Amino acid sequence: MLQKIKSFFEVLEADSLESKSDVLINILLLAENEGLSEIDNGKTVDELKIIQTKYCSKKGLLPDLMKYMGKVSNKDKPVLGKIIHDFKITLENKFNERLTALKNAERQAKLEAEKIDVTLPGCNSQIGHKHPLTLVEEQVKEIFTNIGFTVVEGFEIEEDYYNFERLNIPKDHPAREMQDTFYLNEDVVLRTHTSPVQARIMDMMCPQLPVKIIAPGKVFRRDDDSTHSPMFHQIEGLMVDKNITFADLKGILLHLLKSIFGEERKIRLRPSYFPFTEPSAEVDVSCGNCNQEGCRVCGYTGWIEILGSGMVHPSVLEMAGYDPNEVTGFAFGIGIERIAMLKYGIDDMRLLFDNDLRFLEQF
Amino acid sequence: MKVSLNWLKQYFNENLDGSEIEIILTKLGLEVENREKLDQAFSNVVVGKIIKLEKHPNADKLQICMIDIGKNEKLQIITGAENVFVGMNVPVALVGSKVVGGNISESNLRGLPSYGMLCSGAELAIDSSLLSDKEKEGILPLAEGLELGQDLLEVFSLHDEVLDLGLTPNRADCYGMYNVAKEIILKKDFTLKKLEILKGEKSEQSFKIEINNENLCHRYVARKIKNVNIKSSPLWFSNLLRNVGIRPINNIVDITNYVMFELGQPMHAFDYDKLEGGKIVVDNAKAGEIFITLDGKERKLEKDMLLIKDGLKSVALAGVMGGLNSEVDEYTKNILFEAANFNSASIRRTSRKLGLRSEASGRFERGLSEENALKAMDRAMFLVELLDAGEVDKSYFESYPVKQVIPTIKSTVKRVNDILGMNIQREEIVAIYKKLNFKVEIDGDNLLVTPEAHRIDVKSEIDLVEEVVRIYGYENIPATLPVGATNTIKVDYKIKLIEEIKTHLTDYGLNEIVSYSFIDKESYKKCGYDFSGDKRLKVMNPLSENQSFLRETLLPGIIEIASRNYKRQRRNIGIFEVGRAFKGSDNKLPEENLKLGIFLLENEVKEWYGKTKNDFYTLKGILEKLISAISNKKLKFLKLTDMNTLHPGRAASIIADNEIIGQIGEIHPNVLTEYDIKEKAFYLELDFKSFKEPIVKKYSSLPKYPTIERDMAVILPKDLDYEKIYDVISESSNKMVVGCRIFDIFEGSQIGDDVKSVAFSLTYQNPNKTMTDEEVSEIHNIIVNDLVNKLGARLR
Repeated sequence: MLQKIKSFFEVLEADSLESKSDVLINILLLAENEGLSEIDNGKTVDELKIIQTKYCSKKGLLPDLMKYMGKVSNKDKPVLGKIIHDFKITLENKFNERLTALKNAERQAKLEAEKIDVTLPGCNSQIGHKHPLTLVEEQVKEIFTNIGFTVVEGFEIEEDYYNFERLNIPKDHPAREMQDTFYLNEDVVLRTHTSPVQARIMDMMCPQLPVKIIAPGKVFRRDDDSTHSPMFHQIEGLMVDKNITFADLKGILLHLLKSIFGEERKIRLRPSYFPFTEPSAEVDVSCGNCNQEGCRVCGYTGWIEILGSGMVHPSVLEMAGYDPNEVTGFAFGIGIERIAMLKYGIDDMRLLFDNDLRFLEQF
Repeated sequence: MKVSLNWLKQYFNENLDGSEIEIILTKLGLEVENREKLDQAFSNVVVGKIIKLEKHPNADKLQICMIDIGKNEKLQIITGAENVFVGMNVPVALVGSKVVGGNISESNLRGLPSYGMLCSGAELAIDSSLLSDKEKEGILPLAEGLELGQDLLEVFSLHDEVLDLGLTPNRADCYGMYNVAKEIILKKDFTLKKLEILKGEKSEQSFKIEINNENLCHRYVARKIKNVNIKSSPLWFSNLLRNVGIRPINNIVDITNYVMFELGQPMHAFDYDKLEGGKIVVDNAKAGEIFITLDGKERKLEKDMLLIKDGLKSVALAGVMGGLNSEVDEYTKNILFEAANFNSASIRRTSRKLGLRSEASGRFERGLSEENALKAMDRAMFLVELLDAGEVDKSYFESYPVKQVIPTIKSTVKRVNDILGMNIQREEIVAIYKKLNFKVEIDGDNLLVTPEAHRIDVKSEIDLVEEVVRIYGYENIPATLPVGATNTIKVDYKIKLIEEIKTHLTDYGLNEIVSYSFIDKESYKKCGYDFSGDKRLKVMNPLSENQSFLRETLLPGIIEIASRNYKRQRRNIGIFEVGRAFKGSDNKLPEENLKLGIFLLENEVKEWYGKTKNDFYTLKGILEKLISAISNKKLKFLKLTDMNTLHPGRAASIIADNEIIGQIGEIHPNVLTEYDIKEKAFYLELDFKSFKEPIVKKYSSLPKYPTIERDMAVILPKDLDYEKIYDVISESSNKMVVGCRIFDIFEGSQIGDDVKSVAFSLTYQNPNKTMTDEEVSEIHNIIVNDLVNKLGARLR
């Protein structure tokens, strides 16, 4: 091969390479084919590197060809340059192509060897769970903060004055019997409802308007059986402003209960009595268990009692310093346990306070 | 309050449907807690007369009865009861009948056939409180003169429905069934019959009524019955009482009970001839006075208790119970009936103090109309004549010092609609008041409304608004949303904080629990707290001793729950509670402090990727993560060795801003033993008192120059705390060390007994330029020298 090239250049006249280039290209084509097949046969990256040396290194074919650049005429130089370049590119392209293919194959093999069992469980994947009472409380808070209510909190241990008297329940009022009370001393009680927050917040706000709050928290009553716990949770709601109506109360409660239990639920207000609201209403939600056909959950009535509510009694407004002729308001108290039991289908209230982790982890 | 449909039917010409009445009363705010048909308990039980009794030849305790059940039918029935006799009328459950306990079929008792069963009260589902002692034993004796063969459901008027009303305190008037009937006509176009009464003339001649405490007794009415004929009430009358849960006793007592259930007014009957001195005096008891009530018990009275006295002695505990000394008995000839109005609070206190509560005291406690007293008396007199119980005196005696004030309330149509958010027309509102039998006077825009006397709950305009909407129907109120100004109350940071803490801790894998705020005194001791020391907060009237103290720490509640789960073989226990703990203070109210408690069980387990377990540092890691998530506080830890709750070598006070904010540590083995927990457990408690909304931090610019890491391993005294090493490093490094990570701690005999090897990786960085290797080495050497000189370290 080198001999043939050498002979070619020996007979080459100056400035004639352009016309004779076919001959040189044909000579090189042989070399090229030989090189290409060698590359094709290279089995590993290492083998390929040896082949590369053969063709491209200082001892290879290309440097030999380059020697003639100095020997040909100026006019022939670019012609030869292009021939050499084409030859080199062809081989290099082939070489790179092959190298890439081999590297890919090698990586593929490595990845194949590295495979793992993706079905094994992840590490430390355990998450904790908020208590269902917290979940309900947070949901109710969100519903109300979205419509402009502020969350506030009161004292769990409260003065008799705020727990009763400010709510229109003086000493000896028969309504005191509606709630059996834990006393710390004659004047201090464990609050029996979240309603004292009403008086506390109105005292703080008066004469500003509106008062628009909800107040979640623990409450306590001297009762302990399968449907009563001596400690339970309520959320108090209070809105006081000019022109607040009983119809507004109904609208707000409808919004609340549909948000919790679903759009298809209906609500029913029944007249009731609380000393600190008038008119007062017990609110029932349609039974979702039986679609009001009647079942055990709703005691075959189609309705489930869910909260107490009403228009803030004029005396309660007055004691806080508001003029009941100018200002009206509504208030309601929601039992969180009750909502949680209905929402999650919990049939025994004691589960909420037993804190069995098998139970808590379901939420 | 039990309401019988049969009873109510007396007031109407129309028929009543139980389920409809239930709906009507519910809509009116009289909650129906239960509705029961009384004729479901038994069937096919008839009246029979025992005409022959023989001993069973094969059994000592059995008797063969021949029973006449009318229409010339006779049955042989074998009974084991002892109270049977020839001529006795008895309830006979026929073959094929149903009684409590099962169905009756023909049977054979010791070789002889028996065609039915004689029934006891219990077998007929009659509550034992409705039976006299004599009626309770054996077969229920029936009245003489009953038609044989008559169905017992009819004899006892059991084709009746009873509604149990859960009355709210404002509607105590509905403890009288006639007032319940008045409610029904608000929603139903029925005509309410007037009650038949027997009026008398007021007399002050022969008998004097003196009220010495007008505050406690507003009115006292008395009337005399001569030549009383005490006997059982007729069956129709006693059946009405029995169906609402009152045991018939005799005609006089039954009449007082009947009027009480009809008008809500308790009454009392004295044996007139046992009264001395020709007068009735209403007065306070003397302190310590002993009085024997009808039930034969001696009662020690206090001076705020109200008594009824005659001219010489005390004869009744006003509104609560009569006295034994004036009791009506079978020899009674003349009677004095009492209908009075006593102060509700006084009656409540008295009955509470004496532990004596009755249908009567319950009604007085809730408050009664003064006007009701005379009405009840007139009605009772009518019944005395109706039942032929004696001769009613033409005149009655009365003292009425405090007249009932029936208010005339001013209201406007606009005000009613403003509160309700509705547009009810004036005519409609007036019509509602008229239905209520309230007087209405129209004065321009004002309506002047006077309620009926028995509606003592209607006192002000808002009460009228309630009446309007109650009768207009809550279902007819539209649902609107309020419009108004924007709310400007700021949310308390602590409220947001609670929610955040719960979110973070559950993200870390812990479960939230909720425990009671009151705990057992014993649990303080079990948890290693000194109980005697502090002023503890105790509930005056706890449900039980183990719920008598308010928690000052969350630990007892949390560890109790951990222990319960542990006993259920649970080992993966990581729980927390956020809640208030309490502390006595000099203020009126005790301190309420928001606290967090976290409990972590060691729980060593092998996972496929290796062994895992919790220790002190797991819990400390949780704490550090939490604190940096919710605040800017930098924590410090101070060894805590003097606690009985936590392990003395593995506990620390948590300090932030120079203040102790909590404790963390391994729970003391003694405490764990108390709770039957047999592996290590860790607990921390934080108090959020000092937590404030964190100040927004300003951004600090990013370092421009690279960091360089160098490792170092030194041998140090075993007891030397990491914190001290770190202090030396940060002091010696002239702020060029920006990170220090310990990657190995080794103890072992190879390096000596009292030492440990600590290896750490230091990160160097100069904020102003790129550090050269020489500069790093220079500082690194200073640090090593200082560790050697100040802490006695040597290089490995």
